[in-house]
Amino acid sequence: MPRAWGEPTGAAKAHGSVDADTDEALMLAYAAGNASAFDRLYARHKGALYRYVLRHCANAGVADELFQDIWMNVIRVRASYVPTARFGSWLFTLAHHRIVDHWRASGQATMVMLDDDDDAITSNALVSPSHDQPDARAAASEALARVRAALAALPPLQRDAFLLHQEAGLTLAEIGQMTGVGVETVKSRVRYAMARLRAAFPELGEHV
Amino acid sequence: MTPDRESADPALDAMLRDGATETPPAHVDAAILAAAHRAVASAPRTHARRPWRVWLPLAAAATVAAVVIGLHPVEQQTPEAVSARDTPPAAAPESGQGAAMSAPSNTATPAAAKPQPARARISSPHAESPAFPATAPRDEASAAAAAPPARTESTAASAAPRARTDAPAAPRAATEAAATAREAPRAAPAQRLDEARVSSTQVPRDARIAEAIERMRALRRGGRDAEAAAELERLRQAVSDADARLPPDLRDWALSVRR
Repeated sequence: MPRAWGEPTGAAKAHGSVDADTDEALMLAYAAGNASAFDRLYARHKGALYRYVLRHCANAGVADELFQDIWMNVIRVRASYVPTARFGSWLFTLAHHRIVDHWRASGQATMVMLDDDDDAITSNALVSPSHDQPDARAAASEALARVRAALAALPPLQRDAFLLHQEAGLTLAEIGQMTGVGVETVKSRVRYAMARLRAAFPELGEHV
Repeated sequence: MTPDRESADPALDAMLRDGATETPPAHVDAAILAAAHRAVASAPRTHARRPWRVWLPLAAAATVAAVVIGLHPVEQQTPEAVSARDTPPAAAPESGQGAAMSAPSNTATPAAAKPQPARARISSPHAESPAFPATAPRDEASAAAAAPPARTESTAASAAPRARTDAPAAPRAATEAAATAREAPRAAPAQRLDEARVSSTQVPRDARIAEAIERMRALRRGGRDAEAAAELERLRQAVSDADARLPPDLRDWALSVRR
């Protein structure tokens, strides 16, 4: 179930109190050896994280691999987890770093960093939407395909900021801290992304 | 809407949410969950110490049982030795002579010898050891005579319950043993042989006590106080005056180890 826009995470709901059901408590429980705590944590975040990774990847196979790498990293560093930030922010920071590593490894890093408003660069960032790949698994409804195509058409940095904001539910400040840019930069990236997406769906009409 | 969040676009939100249906494939889920479970299952946890907590008391109990069982047959043998293990009359004088030859060193006073049966709870194999073959009393006596210093110390320790095995007590005990040994020739040859056998079996027991003391020292030096305490407990169960037998460096520590 995708997180609704603005839906707070467990930690925000608890307003900082240490609740056994919060993401942070579950992660600490897992670090202490409680495997079922990880099961719950994974169930909560796997969808949003998977879609975040999938939107950045050329095909689902690569997305699966990166997705698995991210969770393996969570498992590996569990002992050093300290809830100084929300768990979601921490998780998607790991995911963002893995995505950036993937860009570097695939030679896309330079293109991504040049100018996030350049469509010409964007078109080279993703080879093709995942639904065009023979191994596409998700439902191939037209709307879904259009959404994916629209997201894939975004400049990588705008897409990243938008997905962190929309899928992961991170605040602009959290995204800025993660990506190393200011809040205003993050805000402009998100706004540009929303504008481009809206342009891809003219039936939505003008946003007031 | 918090100031830190960008303005929501409900229509776009709905469109994107409807398109956000992808989930990881089942085999990826399974692999990740299995890895997560394996990671904590293989990590050292508190329950990993449970097996240690289980077998250590069992090991201690088994050790104590072995000591008790080992000492018990000797206690049973001691009153019967006069009748069952008596050497043939022809051999008695020889054994008596052998015992007499080594009397100053291997016997204590009869009074001191009397507690020995109670203390000589030593496993019978020692009595039957090659050094003390029952069929060769002369060899036994000569073997006993061959190790007078150790036997002297052991008899001194048995004669003085609070005596320690350190050097200063040995000369005094040796004097006592020599003085009381003058009464030894008056004892029956069979009894003298029995006393020799009992006193000779004190050696392995005292050696084990000394070994236990060394083990405790080594454990404490290695910072393994819990194991050293377990060792002390075993010694206390095997020897009634265990604490008195401890050297000064362990005695203070033993006071802090509760029984």
